Amino acid sequence: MTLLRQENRRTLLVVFTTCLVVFEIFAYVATTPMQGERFFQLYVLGANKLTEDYYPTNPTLIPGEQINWYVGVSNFMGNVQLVEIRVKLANMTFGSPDDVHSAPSTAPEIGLFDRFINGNETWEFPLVWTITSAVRIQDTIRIDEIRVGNQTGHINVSSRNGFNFRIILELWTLDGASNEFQYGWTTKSIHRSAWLQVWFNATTSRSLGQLTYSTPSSLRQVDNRDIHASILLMGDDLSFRIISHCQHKFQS
Amino acid sequence: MSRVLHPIVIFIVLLSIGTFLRAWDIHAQSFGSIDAGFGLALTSIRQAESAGATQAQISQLVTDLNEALNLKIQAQRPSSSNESRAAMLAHVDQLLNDVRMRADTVQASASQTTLKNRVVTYALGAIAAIIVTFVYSSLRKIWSAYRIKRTMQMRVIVK
Repeated sequence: MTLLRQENRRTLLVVFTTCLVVFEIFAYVATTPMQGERFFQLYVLGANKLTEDYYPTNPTLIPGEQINWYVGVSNFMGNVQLVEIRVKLANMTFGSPDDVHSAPSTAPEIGLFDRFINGNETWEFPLVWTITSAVRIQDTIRIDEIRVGNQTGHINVSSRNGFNFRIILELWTLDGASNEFQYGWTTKSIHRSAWLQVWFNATTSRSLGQLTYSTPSSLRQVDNRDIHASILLMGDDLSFRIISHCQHKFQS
Repeated sequence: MSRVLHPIVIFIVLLSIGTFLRAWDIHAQSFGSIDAGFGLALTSIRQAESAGATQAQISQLVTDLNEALNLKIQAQRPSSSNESRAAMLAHVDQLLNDVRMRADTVQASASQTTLKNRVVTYALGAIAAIIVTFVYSSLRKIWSAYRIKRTMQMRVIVK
């Protein structure tokens, strides 16, 4: 009888210990915050908050034309972060940000936007920018001044025929240890970065662009591809000659 | 043996130098610092967050921190006068101090709450283990009684 009781006690002790271990593991999991993958999201949307309509008419811009975008940053780092979006203007020759070596673009900065973002929060803000000054020097268009929000960037970025300019958006974060901004962020000793770029062309006058996209009824039969090619080759200050060329083609 | 070891040692040394240079390179690319006040406030908020502060408490602190940041940006604009700049910077310092103090308070209360919750959760685990053992013991007793009863009710049938 005593032996039986002892065996019972032993069994109960084993059951209790097993249950205790299992339930305490559950308690540990419930009270310890999970650490998933930590990252940021960066996106840019057009004027209608869609991934389209980045430019009002076409991607060939003139000084004074206002461009409305929306830039968004989502923080999935698990804690509050100070984020800085650096807006840069580049042409084909400036280096793009380097993901392999986590190096930012060498292009000049035209705007900065800072914000503290909560964990799992998305910060979306309007990015309104305008080329305020551009000049043509022979076959090159040089952008001298660009306005981003209420910041004005005095720069000197030029491109042949005004083609292939780009706005680069880089994500920088505050490094808690050094109290300095770093390009990208560090998670589990690995450095990561996020950047975007949107291409555009620039010219100094709108007259040619209008001709391409809304041809007068008298010119409708002219092949649009010819007109576009003429614009690209001849440039804005020769608009009168292009129109003459089109009319002549129609008549002939 | 040394012929095999030499290239391995050289490889490890080169790898170490490469890793060090890469780490230095990444650090060297960072530029542009921010006022120490913002960094300290951010650290305080992160400590409160890791201590278990609620999302609502943290959001309030972050809102105030953003207000301080906006004021700082406004003060740096060339259009603002010296007087308004000084007033804005004073307000920024005040806001940052306030955020830090509140973050510390939130951290203290959140730590206590988290500790209480943790103790309660672990205690619940132990209580659950006791209940399960008791239930197991009771079921076993019932089962034993049932088996004894069944044995007693058995009839011996001579075939």
